[in-house]
Amino acid sequence: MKIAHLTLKELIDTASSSSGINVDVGPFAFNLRSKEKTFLSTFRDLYIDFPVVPSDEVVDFYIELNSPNNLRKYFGPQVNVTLDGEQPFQPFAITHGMPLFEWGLNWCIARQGQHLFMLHSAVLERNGKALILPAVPGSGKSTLCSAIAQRGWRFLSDEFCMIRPSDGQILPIPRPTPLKNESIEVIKDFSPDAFIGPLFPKTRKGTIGHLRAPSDSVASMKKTATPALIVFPRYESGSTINLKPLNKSYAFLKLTTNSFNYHFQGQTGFDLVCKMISECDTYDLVYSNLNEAIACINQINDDL
Amino acid sequence: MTFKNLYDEPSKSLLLDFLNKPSSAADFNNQHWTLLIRTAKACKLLAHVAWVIDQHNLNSILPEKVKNQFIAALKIAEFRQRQTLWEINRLRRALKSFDATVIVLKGGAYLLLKLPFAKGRLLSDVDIMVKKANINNIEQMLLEQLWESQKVDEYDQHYYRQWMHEIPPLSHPLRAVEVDIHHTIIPPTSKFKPDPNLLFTDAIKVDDINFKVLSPCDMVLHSAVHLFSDSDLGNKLRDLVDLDQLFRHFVSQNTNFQNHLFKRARELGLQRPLYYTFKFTHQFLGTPLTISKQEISSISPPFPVSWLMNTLVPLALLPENPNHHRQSVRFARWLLYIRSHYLRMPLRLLLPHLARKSLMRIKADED
Amino acid sequence: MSERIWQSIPNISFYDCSDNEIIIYNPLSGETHQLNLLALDVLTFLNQPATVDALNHYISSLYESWQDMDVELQLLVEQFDEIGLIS
Repeated sequence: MKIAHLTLKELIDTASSSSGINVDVGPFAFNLRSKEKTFLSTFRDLYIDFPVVPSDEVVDFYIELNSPNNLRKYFGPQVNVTLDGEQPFQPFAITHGMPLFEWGLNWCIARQGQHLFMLHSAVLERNGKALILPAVPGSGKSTLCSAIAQRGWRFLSDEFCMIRPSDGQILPIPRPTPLKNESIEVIKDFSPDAFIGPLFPKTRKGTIGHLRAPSDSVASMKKTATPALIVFPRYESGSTINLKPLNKSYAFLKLTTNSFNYHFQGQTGFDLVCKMISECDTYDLVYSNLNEAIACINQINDDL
Repeated sequence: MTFKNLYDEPSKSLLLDFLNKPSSAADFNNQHWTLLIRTAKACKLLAHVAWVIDQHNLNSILPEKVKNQFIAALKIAEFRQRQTLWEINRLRRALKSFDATVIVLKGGAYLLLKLPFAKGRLLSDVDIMVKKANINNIEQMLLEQLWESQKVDEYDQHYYRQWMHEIPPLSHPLRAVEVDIHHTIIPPTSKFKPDPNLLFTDAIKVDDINFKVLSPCDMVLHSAVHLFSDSDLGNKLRDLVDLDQLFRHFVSQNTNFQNHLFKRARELGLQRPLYYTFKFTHQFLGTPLTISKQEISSISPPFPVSWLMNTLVPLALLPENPNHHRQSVRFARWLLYIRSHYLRMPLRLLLPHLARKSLMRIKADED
Repeated sequence: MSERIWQSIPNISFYDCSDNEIIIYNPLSGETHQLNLLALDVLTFLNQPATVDALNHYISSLYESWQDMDVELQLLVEQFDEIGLIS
């Protein structure tokens, strides 16, 4: 059963109950309890294709999103997120439940996903070969990734490249992509049919709108992918497209700094990066035009 | 056991049952695993549970998600262990020309001795002990080699040096692992005063490195006095697990171990913490006792104290059911918190210190 | 100082990037380092215990000597000691 099979009222009733609702996002499943109707409505829209897990299954995280019981409910009401019994974030305005939930889920994954090797990267797949786009400030990674996903690539993740140590395979986690500020309009123009949820102004990162993952990508989220291309993107307004192969030593160290948990992984982390650098082609890509960037990336994917 | 029952029985501890009989996991359903994991996480024993599962060859029965959580927990434990051993490595290098004895305490010692249960332990700092006369010397040596004092606040420096007769922790900026340097195994202001010279005399060498560790008896007594006299016992099941594991290991090497321990406790004046150790490890973790009940009773506290501890310790120390938090537990923990401070420092120091701690907490809440 | 015997720690992992750079992993510290070919030769030579004098001789046999070679090698040894690759 998917979220789509529940009406909004059914979702609210289940999430408000003491047992909450269990949702599978690929390598992880979480239990969600919340009484916040606005948040749940947005959640339903953005997670509509994800499977609901039976309540007696083991889950990885326990997430609760509710109003703290304080005087603020009379003026400027807030919403707080509790993650496995802890509250690591300050409360947000009650209208901003969705960004708070997404950051909370990121926190859970980064903290607990130590059985996997995690890169702070977007991931997509085409022709059986996965493209990794490491996050670097100014890269425009999320915008580029979203655009590529709208042009025939399977979307695996915007934020977390999860690699299984036993075989180096990437595990998809195709959650909504948080687009920021100008990117929202860029993607709306690029792909008018893409579903973007409500906009949340004045967050730490400016205005955020969440792009729903393509249904096909969510449907195939249990299908792993083999790393083949690592491209470090950099958006430079007005620039000519420039694809430059990287020295392996440079790419190796860049990848280790891009990882969430390279230091935790010890020998396993080193061995996995060795494998990836051996088996993948690595590039820097400077671009200003999404279509040009996509054409370039398609080409190197075809050439593999 | 139905799903409803598990969550409605706050006093039953699945985690304790599992630790007493790991093979019971073969009959676990998903709800059992969920409750076990949540409880273990709450008392920082997830890595230990994962280690126990591995020791009993139960990995094949684990649901996928449970297996992943155990792998993740052991990965983190392994990282912390590597950090600790590396810090000890760097300390050995820095102290090459320090010609007095350095004893590694607690988790660092368990790692150096390669005690099997050390694989499932989470560590955070490195504790070492030198003779009191050498404290300033060793502090100086480390400061010269770029370790830094962690407490900058004047009150904290004063608290450590004047009141607790210790030096504030050090850490090296490149690694940020806290190094605590002691000259005895319990704060010198405590009512228990084990003679440190006896500890140094019995300390044993480890392989070919220049640091030592406490003798097995002293290692257990250190852990015992740390838990039962230097801590508030709140949610400290993992410390009791350490004691249980140390017992089992040392008894397996020497069947007379508990008798030696009894004698040693008398030499060091630590019979009371040893009594609590025997009593509660046996009661909660089924630790086998090779020493007689009469001998244990001979070191028990008088009736009002024994009754009080028998009531409070289970409430405070054992993990709660994550869905049932009880006022009685909160109260027991508070009482034992006061007790631990009272044992750690005389009243004339305790009251001003507690007042300042409360003030700091109020200030922190306001910020 | 030159009488002191140095030896590389065991079980260092190496990855040859084929661009005259080697990435290594120190299993004791958990740290990753980038070495050039000279540094790799020094580390490999010290798999067997040796003094800095012996190292100087060995490196002179592999490479053409350069000014301040012995000073640089001394520095390299000190750096390796600092990061725990030799002891």
